[in-house]
Amino acid sequence: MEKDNGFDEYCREVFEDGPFSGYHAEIHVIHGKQKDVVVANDIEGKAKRVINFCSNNYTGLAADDRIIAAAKRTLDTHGYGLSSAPLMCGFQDIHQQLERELSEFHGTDDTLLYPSGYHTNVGLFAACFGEEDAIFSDALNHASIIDGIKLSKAKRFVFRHLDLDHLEEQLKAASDYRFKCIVTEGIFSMDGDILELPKYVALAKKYGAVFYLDECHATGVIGKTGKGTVEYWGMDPSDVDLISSTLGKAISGGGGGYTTGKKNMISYLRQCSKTFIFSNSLCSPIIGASLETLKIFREDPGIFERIKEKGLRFRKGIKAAGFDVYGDDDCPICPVSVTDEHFARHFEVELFKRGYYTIGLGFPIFDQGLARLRIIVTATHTNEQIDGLIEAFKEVAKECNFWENLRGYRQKVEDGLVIGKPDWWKPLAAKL
Amino acid sequence: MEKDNGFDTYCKEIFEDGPFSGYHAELHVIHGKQDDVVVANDIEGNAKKVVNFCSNNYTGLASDKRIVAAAKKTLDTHGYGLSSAPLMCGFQDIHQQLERELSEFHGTEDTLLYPSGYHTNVGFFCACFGEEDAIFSDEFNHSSIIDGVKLSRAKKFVYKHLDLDHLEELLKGAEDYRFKCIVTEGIFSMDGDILELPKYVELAKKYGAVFYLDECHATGVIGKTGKGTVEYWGMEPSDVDLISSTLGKAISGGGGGYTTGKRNMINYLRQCSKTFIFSNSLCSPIIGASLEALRIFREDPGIFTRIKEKGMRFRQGIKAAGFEVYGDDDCPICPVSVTDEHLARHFEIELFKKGYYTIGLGFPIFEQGLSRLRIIVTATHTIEQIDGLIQAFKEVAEECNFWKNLEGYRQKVEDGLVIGKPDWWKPLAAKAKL
Repeated sequence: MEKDNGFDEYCREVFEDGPFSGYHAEIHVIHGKQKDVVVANDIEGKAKRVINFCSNNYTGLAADDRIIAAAKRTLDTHGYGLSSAPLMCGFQDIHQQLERELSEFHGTDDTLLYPSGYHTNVGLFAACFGEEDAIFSDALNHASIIDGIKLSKAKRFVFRHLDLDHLEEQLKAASDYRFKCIVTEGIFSMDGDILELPKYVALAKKYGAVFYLDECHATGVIGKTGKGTVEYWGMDPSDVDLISSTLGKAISGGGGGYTTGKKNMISYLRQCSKTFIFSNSLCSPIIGASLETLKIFREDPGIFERIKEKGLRFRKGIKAAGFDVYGDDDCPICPVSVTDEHFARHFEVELFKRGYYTIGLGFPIFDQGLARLRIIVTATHTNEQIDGLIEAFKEVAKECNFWENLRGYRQKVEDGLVIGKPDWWKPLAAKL
Repeated sequence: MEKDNGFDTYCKEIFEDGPFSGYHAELHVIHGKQDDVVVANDIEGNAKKVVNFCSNNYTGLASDKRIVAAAKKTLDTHGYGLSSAPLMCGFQDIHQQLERELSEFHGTEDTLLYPSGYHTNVGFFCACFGEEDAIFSDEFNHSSIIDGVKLSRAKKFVYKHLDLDHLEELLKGAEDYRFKCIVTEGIFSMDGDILELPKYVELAKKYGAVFYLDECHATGVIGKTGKGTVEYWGMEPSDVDLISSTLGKAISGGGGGYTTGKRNMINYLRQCSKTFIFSNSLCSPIIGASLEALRIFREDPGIFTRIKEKGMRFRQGIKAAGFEVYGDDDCPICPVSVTDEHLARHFEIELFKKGYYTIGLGFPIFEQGLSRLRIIVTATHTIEQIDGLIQAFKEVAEECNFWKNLEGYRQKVEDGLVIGKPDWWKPLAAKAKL
């Protein structure tokens, strides 16, 4: 006897209804390399040359010739894969070298490589904290941090995004816990905010809390020599207990992650972090490419100056064109506000037609009315490309009567007239 | 005012006490490539050529010249990294090609690439199931499945390892749930057990449950053409709703994972699975190497016969030498029982001295008395290497009076005289017990 499990039908319905504001997230297929100019399929599937403004390739190194050469060299010397966890037979001399160089780069005691940034966060909290401990997490922390905290039995406190007073209030009330751990991000990539690190460090020290900082969008992005939020604020590496970061964004973008910080804590994680113990080791081209990137960072710290300048050029220009932009001036992530997710979609499609590859983000990632195009400017974008994008924004806005519509929409939101989502939204929104 | 958070000291204490039976897990550093023979550091840090019997390089392809060449070619055509999530600008034509070829390989409708096997499991259950649903999970499922199931709000039922009666009992008692999902592994790598797939499929159909099968140690390992547990039992790909597997073991071992199965379910995951949405895309050498591995599988299915034969040779030989081995004959994972974790450590060190790289596994991964050396035989191990390992086992056993000690130890365990662990074990054991 066979009973239909009903799940296939459920999946079909949700997919056909469109899980995101009635849209499917679509995948543009890219042909060839990730550079400023890519060949990507538009929504009809036709390949088109477009200028890419939505990658996390902050340093522009993802398809750099030097990186490719280094990856190839490492394939020759160290083979391709290890088919093994690091504690079995998956730790090569080059892994050890990369861990050391990352420690040098950050000015920390020790580093632990993980298969991804996601692994670093999922594998930290459950390894370190239990029922007698408390974790304080920013409301807009990344999915991997949220998952990591959920897997721990510690008490969770969520503080309002970047709200130091709220965090302090929670810390004050939590004197009975064994360990307290504050977790936040150095740069919040959805908003382009740079964390006011000194204030968090001060709070951590005042209340005796462990401070865990996710630097995935800050390493290789801000700071004079790309060392992230700690360097940006002129602080000491030892002010932060542990930093988790990624090899999948500014550090040439092939994937991989790491946690770096105090020796005892890293030694502990190496023994007890499940996502480290029960996972495959990173393949050699990733190690080779990452080592080469750190070398380039040392030899050409001007990259970080260029990231900052290019980002600022776009930010100033798009503001001058009348748009609102979220985030800090020194951050190359420039989320351009378009308020409504249907606009976000519209701008995305229209900008693509004009040769600019951008991503519109809206509900349910953000609340209603906060949809945006998240423009990411890299070290290798040219002034022409940046100015061209600003111009394209202006054209699209004119053609769709954006400014008029925007006033009307904002009024509607204020008057509570924005039509809500259908009921089936709720379970999905809750999942995300 | 500065208060010490106390955490650094805590970490130091645990580490110095030795979280594993008083030992630290140690990293042997490998110089050069992952092959049957590797150059690895021993516990003093001296580099030594040893025959590697502890990797998941089942097909022996991890450093194969063809794989290395394919990875290099893909670097030339597609660059290195994408610095992007797939739904942003991280999906290249080669990713699409790999998803299609994996679907063809498995005989499934669609495939979704993930950054790792860990991601596939962590991102599955909470995307699909909520409070109104129930998940039935084998107690020895992998850490990533346990984490994935924990993250879901579904009701969780854990059934005794490979115990179909217990599973059926739980399914029977779960009438009122919206969706039921059974999750288990095709090959359990700690024991070398091959799942009796037909019986699970039957139960899933009888009770209308979704069947999710983790094939990480089965894909490219068993089955006539390496298609895993489904092929091994002669079943239809559509008998299993979803398979999660890895590119980090038999499929050349560089990392990466995927979920493959019914189209509607894969479409759904592509939209709703957080570990897919909020993660980086796989870099091009991984895609190129994986495509090449699939091509080699098509051209040379003899690999899988070799895996089976070599595994069998070791298994039979080590049994003839008097050792007990866990698991199924057709499985190249041969966990050799040594009972006590101090013995596991001893064998590990002594075998290394004799030129064989093995790993002893004990408490807290297993209960007391179940320690083992997990020997993994690959398609490319030679007869000499396999026979040499068996011989080395015999020598070590003789030299440390193993058989005598074993009798004594087993008696002690039965008499309840095995000394327990210190108290601080408990938090760590609880964490590791998952």
